[in-house]
Amino acid sequence: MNRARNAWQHASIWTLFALAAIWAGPAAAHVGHGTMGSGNFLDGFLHPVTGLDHLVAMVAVGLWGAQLRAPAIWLLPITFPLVMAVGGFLGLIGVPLPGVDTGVAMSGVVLGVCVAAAARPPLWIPAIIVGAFGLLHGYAHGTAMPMSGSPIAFGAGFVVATGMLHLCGILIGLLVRWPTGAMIVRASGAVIAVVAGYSLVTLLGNTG
Amino acid sequence: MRSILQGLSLLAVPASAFAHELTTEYGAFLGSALHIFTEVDHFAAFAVLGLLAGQNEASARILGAVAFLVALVLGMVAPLAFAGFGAFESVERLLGAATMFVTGILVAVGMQLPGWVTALVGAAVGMVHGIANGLAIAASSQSVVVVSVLGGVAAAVVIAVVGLLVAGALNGLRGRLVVRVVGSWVAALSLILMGLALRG
Repeated sequence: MNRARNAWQHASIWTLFALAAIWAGPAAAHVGHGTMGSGNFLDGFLHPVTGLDHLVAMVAVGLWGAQLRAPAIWLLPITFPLVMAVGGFLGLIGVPLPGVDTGVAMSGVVLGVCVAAAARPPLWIPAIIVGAFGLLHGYAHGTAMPMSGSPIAFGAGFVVATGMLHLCGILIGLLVRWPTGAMIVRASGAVIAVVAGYSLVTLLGNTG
Repeated sequence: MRSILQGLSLLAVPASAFAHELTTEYGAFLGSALHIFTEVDHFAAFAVLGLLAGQNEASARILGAVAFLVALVLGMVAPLAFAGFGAFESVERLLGAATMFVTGILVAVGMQLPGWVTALVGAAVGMVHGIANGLAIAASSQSVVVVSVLGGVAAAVVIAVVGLLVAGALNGLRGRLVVRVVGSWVAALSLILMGLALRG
């Protein structure tokens, strides 16, 4: 009975991915064949993945969520894309938001330090920190969104990629169940903070 | 884990063309159905509505399904039967995104909803996307509009039913979380659609 139930659930997960693939497939058409800014699903997907600031911050959100455990481990991946999309919405309609690049670069430092310190503040504090940074990241994606090709597909791409990066962070963060794993996760946070710090210093050096 | 990675790899596979308009190349039924399957906003709206139905009790599910189906058919037929729906085209994307946002948020929250809420959401999604598809059918050179309407309704129902079955099957703790995360992603996408609609 349990085996049949597991098989059905397994098939359902496959169906969900198949649905996503059907949906992503059309989105990936109007193809610009990989050139950044041509506005297809892959371009949108690659935007957070290939941007170091975005990449480390998204993974750090997942790591921190795993450290904080329930309900943060599932609350952050559900709320972050929404807050990020609000930022994207503001960017698209042209609402001015100062200090976005600095804020995005700083997000990796702050989140990395939180993971390295294994900080466990009350849930509302991570919610505000992650929400504020999510807004900035979304704004950056929104302003980078090309109007040629398929901007809808581009948007779908960066939403899915952000979720996938969170998932990566959460999966790595599950190591916190073991003492050595917890140390590895904290070390990952430190690496993220250093990488994002370098990026921040470079950015400030260029603008200064 | 292997199956998840294999599933995710599908996301990178480019498939069919992204149709913005109803094609007449494949006949009335298939052309209309393909329009639903290949438009990101239609597809996501119907799939997430199915997920919402699957999260809820049978009574709420039935009310939502009936309201959706009736509104979808009425919405599709209205622009074909009556004039004066041209103005809808200017708000079509915004309304479509707004209904998708509400549905996605409700899925992300994952609460059990009373029947009147699922009926209201089903009716709103059905009406907005029905009128949009009715206008697309009217703008195409399809001569057999009844068959076109049937194709669109069939595609919408298939997508929603698959969503419902997926949500119904993923009723374990982790499965419910997966469904809620997908709901939040669809709500996030709908915000982007709203931004694009307002940006013009």
